[in-house]
Amino acid sequence: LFFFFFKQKTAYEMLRSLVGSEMCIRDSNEGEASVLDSPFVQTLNSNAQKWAPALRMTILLMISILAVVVRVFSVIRFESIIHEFDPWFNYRTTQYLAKEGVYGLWNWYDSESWYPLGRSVGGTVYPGLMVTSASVYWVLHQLSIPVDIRNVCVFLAPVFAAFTSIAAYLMTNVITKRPEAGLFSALFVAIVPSYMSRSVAGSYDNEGVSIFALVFTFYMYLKAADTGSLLWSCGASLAFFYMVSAWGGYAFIINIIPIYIVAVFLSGNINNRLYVSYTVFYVLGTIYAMQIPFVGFQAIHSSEHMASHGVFIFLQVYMFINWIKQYITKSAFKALTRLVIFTFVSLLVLGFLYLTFTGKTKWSGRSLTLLDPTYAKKFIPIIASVSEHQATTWSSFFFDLHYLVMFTPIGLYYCLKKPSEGKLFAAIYTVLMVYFASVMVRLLLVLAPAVSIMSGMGVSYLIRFLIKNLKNALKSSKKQSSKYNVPSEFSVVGILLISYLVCTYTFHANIAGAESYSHPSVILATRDQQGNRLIIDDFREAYYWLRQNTKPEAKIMSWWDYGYQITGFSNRTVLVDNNTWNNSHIATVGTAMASSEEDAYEIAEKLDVDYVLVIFGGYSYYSGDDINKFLWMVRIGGGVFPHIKEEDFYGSGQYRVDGQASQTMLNCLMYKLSYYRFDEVKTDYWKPAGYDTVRQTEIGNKGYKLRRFEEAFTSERWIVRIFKVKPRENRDGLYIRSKGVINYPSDTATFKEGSSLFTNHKYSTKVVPPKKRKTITVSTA
Amino acid sequence: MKKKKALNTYYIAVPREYDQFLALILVRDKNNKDIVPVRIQDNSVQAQYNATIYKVDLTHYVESNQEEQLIITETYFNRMSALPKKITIFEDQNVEIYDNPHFFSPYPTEKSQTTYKLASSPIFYTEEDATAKGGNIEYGPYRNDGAFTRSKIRLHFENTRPFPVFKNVTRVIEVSHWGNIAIEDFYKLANEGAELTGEYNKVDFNKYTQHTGKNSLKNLKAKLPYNSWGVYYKDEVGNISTSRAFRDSASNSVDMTIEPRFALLGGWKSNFYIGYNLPAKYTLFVEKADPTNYYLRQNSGLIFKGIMAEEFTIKVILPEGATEINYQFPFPLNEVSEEKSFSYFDFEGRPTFVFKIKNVVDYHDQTFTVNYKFSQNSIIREPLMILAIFAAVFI
Repeated sequence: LFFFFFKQKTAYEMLRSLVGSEMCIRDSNEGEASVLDSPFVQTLNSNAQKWAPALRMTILLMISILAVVVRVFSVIRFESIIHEFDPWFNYRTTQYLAKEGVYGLWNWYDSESWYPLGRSVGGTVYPGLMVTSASVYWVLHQLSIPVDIRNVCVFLAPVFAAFTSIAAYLMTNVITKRPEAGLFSALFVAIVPSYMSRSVAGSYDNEGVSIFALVFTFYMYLKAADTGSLLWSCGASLAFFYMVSAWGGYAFIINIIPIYIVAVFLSGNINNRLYVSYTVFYVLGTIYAMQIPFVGFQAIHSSEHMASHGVFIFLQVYMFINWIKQYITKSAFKALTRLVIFTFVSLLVLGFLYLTFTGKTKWSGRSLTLLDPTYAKKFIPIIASVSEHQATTWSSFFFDLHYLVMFTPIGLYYCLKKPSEGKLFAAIYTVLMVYFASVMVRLLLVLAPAVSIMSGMGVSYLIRFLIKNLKNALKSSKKQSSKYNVPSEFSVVGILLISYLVCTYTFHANIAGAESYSHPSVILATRDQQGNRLIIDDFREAYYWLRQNTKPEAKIMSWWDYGYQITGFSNRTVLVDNNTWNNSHIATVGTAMASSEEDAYEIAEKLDVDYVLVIFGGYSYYSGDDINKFLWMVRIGGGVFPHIKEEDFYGSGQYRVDGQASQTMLNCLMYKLSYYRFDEVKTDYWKPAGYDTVRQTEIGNKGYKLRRFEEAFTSERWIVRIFKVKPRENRDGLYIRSKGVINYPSDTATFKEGSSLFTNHKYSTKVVPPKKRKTITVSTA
Repeated sequence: MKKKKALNTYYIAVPREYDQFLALILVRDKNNKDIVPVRIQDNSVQAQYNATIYKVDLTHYVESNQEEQLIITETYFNRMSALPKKITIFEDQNVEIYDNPHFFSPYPTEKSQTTYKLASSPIFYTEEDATAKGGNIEYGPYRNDGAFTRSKIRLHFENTRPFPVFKNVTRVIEVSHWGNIAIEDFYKLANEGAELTGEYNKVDFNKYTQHTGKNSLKNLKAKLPYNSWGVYYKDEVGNISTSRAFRDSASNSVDMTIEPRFALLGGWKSNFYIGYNLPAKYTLFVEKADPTNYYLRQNSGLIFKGIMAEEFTIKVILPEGATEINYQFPFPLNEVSEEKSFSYFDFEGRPTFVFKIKNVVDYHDQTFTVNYKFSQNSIIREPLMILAIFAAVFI
């Protein structure tokens, strides 16, 4: 741990000295008889100038190395393992890709998920991440370095974080033309906690590579806009292609760049360079985007792309008018411009409205949630249920960005003080991202590079300003300029303060990276009474049990959160998983969990379920369990099956599990499976048996038996409980039609239907007379 | 045995229905040397008497009218089966076994007696000719049995211990002339006791209870070589944190206790890997006269004692460039094949020998030798190659 701190400090110290010396170089010409003119300082300056590029590269290299090492805490403290949920799907897909090749992946129809529907993986995946790691794997194998595909996946994100810091350096460099600002940006983005949270070793997710792709695309585009070169524009669209292949977040690029063009236009600075860069980028970028099967024609008709189409057409028209300008009078031109712009804008708006209302173009649920933060809560509970889709709190802003939230306004101030095209772009990018990041926690990630670049600019601007003042004070009084008249003491304190803040930021980032974001979440760690580190491995214990001791074709019903993990760890078929593409299928599972045991059995039987898996934390203080997620299952289930009503699950107006909970709650499948025989154990010496450590209460339904399900496995700390769906009891679900039975069918048609069911030995749920439900005695707490 | 000519061959008969469960026969004569008998193929006697015949070549000739004492050890597996086949977690496991209490032999037998030592006093035993003393049941003595005399007895008794079996073990031994031998074992473990039926009953059954799930397999003890280091225990989904190992100088080994991810109840399975490293100086020897001639000595048995492996594969990966490879095993092998394996910076592949042994028991805990020629100079070829590549890229 100390090693990393040391390293960071070195990088930082060197940065500081570099910035100082650069400043000296720039302003050293005018001095007359001050310290700055002494031969020693002169030699120092010329030396520094000579070595500056090498020093810069060295610092950048060290920042890149730092970006990697700060992210491997998770491997050091745990092991080289894939983290969390989505990475497990990515990992599994990468394994498949490495084995079967690109065409194999394209045609992969995965029957292990979404039983009985299956999932066509090739067409519903952003393959950039998997193709990247599979390529690394293939190349290394060609070079006779037989690395394990898992290790490639685990260490991919840290390596790309290093690339991101280089890209941030380049981008800031293009914007400000000041390498010191670039180095600050590189340092900030390398260790910004928000980005680290998604790119620690093992966090094998799309964002790991696409944040690099995002920054790099912006860099390429700014370079293209700066030079007006076709080559850079093509490069930008290629970078964009990589971004599209890697993450759905490419929508940010395809919207930010058009907004930027519009902003430049409104400020009256539109020029041929921008025209060329945008036109090339748009045309090639859109064509490239269409090559990804998952995007396809969405690049033409989805609402996320409409802005780019509009701006493209608008630019063409505008340039056409400009061309006409040479041939007509000034007043006619003005009138023509106004007319064309007015008709064009109204046409665009009308066209967009028409497309929207006829349903030809659509916003995706996630985009709509971004535009209207209350949308998901009202209409799509499945999006709202994900914790990373919640609105961001101020504390998470500060925890994830730390002092960058202070530096960013300084950067913005600097951008607006001396505006240029690049700075305008950075400002737009930052402001838009601040909005999006406020709507969804997970988008803090996209904000992170923006604020890092802004902060880099801001910090370097402040330091430059203060050093100019210092130097001004050192000069002889004649030469002093009135522009820099901040007192020296103030400058010194200011520089020290900034250094302190930047140092604090690096410390915070380290601690956040090491303590908060390095947990694989499939392995938990705690400490026992003696303070020894204790690994809680319940998830793998149970998943591995499934893998070893169930039939290979067994179907597991669990809430969708665990779908990817079950297919990844256990290699078993699941009904729903984290790719939440089919809402009604998820709702069916939610309904099963929220139904009574008998009703749930009917659903489970229809879906061929062999095992039901629930996560239960009440025994061992694990709060992320299914009972705590249960209301979302009820809401999502109720969204499709209206007989599941959220209010039925409240007791005395509250969601609770104790004696005052509602009868529906106490008798639903989720409750019964989670708490099965829990009332026979004591979790705390002072508490009654059946005391739930997460809900801090004694459970309400005790001593019940399960009729349709059977406990098949429970992990050591009870976190994972697996129940087997029992076969039907003998003659259960059938009844013999005889004259003695009351509901003997009156007409022959019904009788035939019934008897054919009978002779085919099929179970019919329709003809079952209402069963006698066992009454359950509920003891109150 | 009374024969007229001096003899050094002796034949052993095994009832054919038990032959498929036979892991090993060992014969020890007066020279105190273990001899592995050879099975005789296509003998009409086999069909006639429903018996499999094994031939033993004794270490010396036995003159006529001389007596010779032989100790024959037959090791069987899978002969006991649980009865009932499935039990709940609260029930105790009972097993049954069928056997022939006569001394089954191609020769007439003057007198024989069989003692069965059971884990507990039997629930049932065939009472004919039997005397039971607690868990010990004696059949016989039988006098003047003819050749191939047989009868069938049945024993049914309580045995609550787990029946661990390795369905398959693969050991990879990778030799590096930089001074390390890396060994990784892959185990497919199964508990072949009575299968679990009914509920798992977490409340009643866990790692620490003694009275439920008695036939569950909670831990295993392994003995690794004394000098092994860098020991790891993992499976396909990652590290398993429930193992302890300490270096025990008294028994000259590293004692390792592992717990599978979950206690294996009857009928359950689990796979795992155990890997460790050995310093080459203790197992890789070079001939003094010829420094290119190497001898690798390795253990050919399992690190778990008392558990049988139905199939055991040993892969020896020699360094790239090893030639004239020979091997000596102290017992016959079922299959030997040769292949190439590729590791870091291998272009032509490392010569790899794959040895397959069936039904491995404690007897196989011996030493085998692989002998090959290798020039110590060629180990710096790979680092040089890497240097050259770096030089080509950066200069």
